[in-house]
Amino acid sequence: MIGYNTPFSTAAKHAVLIIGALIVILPFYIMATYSLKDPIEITSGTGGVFGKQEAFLDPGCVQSGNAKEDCLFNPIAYNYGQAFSKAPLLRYLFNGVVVTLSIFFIQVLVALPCAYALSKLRFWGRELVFTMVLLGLLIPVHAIALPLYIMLSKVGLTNTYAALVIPWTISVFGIFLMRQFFMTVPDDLIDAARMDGMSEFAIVWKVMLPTAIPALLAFGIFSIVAHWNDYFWPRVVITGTRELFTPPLGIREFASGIDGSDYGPMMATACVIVVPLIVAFLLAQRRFIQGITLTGMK
Amino acid sequence: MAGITLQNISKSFGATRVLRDVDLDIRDGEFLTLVGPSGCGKSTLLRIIAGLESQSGGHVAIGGRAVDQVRASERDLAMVFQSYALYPHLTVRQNIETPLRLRDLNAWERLPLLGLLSAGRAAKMRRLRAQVAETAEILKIEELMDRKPGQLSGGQRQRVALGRAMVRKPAAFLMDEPLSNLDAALRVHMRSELAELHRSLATTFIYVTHDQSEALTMSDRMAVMMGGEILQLVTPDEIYHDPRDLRVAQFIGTPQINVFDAAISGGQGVTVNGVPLAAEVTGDGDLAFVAVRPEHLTLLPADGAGQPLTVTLKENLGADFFIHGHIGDGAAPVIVRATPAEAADVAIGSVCALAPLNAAEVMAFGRDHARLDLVMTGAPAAVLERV
Repeated sequence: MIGYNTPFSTAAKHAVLIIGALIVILPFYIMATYSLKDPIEITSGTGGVFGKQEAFLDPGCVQSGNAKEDCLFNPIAYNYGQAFSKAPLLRYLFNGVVVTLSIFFIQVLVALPCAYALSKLRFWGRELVFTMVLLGLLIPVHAIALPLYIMLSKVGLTNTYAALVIPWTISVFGIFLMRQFFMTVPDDLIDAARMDGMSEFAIVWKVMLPTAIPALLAFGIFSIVAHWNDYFWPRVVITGTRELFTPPLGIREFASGIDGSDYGPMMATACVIVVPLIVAFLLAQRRFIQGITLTGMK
Repeated sequence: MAGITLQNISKSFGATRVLRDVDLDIRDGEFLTLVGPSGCGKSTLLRIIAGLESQSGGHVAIGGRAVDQVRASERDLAMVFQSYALYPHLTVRQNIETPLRLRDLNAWERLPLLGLLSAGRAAKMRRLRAQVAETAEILKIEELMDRKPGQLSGGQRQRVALGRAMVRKPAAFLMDEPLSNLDAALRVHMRSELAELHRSLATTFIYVTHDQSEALTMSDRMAVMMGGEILQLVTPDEIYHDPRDLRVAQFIGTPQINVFDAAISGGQGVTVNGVPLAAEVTGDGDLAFVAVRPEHLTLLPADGAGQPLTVTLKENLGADFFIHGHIGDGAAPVIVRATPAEAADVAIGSVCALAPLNAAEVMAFGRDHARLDLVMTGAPAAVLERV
């Protein structure tokens, strides 16, 4: 019966996939639809997908002594307006870009030579080093978060960009992924480069890097998504200044104030934070899948 | 241009000895082929010459200069690889340009934008482009220059790889099975082109192959390697007609040389499969085998005076036929090369007769595979009685 589909089994497969997709999409749906509704629609669960888009009265605005007419807002304008005005969201986005790109750049700078050495150079203890790399993959960040924080604070680096970047500059996963890709690069290519007169470093940057673009893109997406969305680590090391907040910390600005959580602007912020990643993924989708399947060069 | 001298080269990977004290003297401008079955150490030897692998013992000298501690890039050698090993992200032009840029431009001049500011760069680049263009013209790849290797056929990639090697005008070319990824027709064509290229460049070529026809057709001299040793190093003609080792005789020549058990009986007299041969072994040596090339065996009609040969297979190669069979009860497989006329009435399963061996065309080998000298007794074309 292998490969033979009855209508029933096809339907069952689709049903399972649809349920799975719904479970995954539901939070996104709630995020998107809440960002479009006014607070009453959100709390009462009315208004369908887009809300009625009727102007509503902001009680906070009236309390601060404004005229009622000036405190009527369109929900979308209110939510997204608040997202950008109540917190410096653009600043947070900028921080996010600086931090994720710095992390990725340094990760590549470290991972490529490491991966090259682990895959193409013969030296005593190579297997041992690689085993240690694999072991490194097993250590969860949370386990070493406290020691890392203590070290950073001893050298006075908490509340700086450096604190956000330095702990992630050596990516064990990156070294592993690039090493696996480099294994598929033929040795002849490297020998040819040596005969042509390239140094080992030149080989890494001028031969291995260009051939590894698909794998590098895949790694880039992993790295950027992970650090763009990271809430845990910035929350640990950025304790004082809002200047250094990354986008996920920005969402927190709307959580549980004195008059409860302000869900509309909060979800609008979340939308703004998520959109760049989704767009980037859609643009790089094909390359991403190429990199994951690790089809090397022939 | 330079001669290359190898002295006592040995190489071990762990406990396995890949090369055993190889001595090799490659003359300036010579086309030397290293040929042998896979795993015989020929590629390792080439990589040691190139400097891509370090020898466990012994010395390499290029043009009289000891290069044991010299990096591959400083040995002034160029190598063509079996997989061509072109840079996949660069165009053909950039591929060919790369070794020149690395040799002729300094680190500062190679910098992406800042390099343009350096004074002598423009003149150097003009000279470099001229060299690339000249190479492209020789190899007739001018119209491919802006393509990437992925867009080329195997034969075209082969040419580009040659171009990348040639453009530097190196002291010697090292080639590691460069034709084995091509289809049969193209391989034969490239064989003649490589030989032509060698004549026009007049540079030392060291060519590694497992394909004896490449070795026989192109080389000035060929070295047959087996088990990490060079068994014989002479001209292709001599290798074929006067092998000094049974393994060389068996490796070179298609179809394979026929080997029969031989023994000495009654003083120095030689018997092959129990049949006396009109020859004697001179000097010492424990005679064990006698070998005859397929073209030196003659088929007789079934009633002829010779040993009966049961035919098991008849191969038609157009100009020739290879008749496979065995003598007696199948103990000794035999291949005979016959003209179409001779092969016309030979049918598979039939029994015909194998003419007695001509002692002048027989080679004798000892139990240690070393060649033994035979002296004919009686007339040169002496034939034997049928047993």
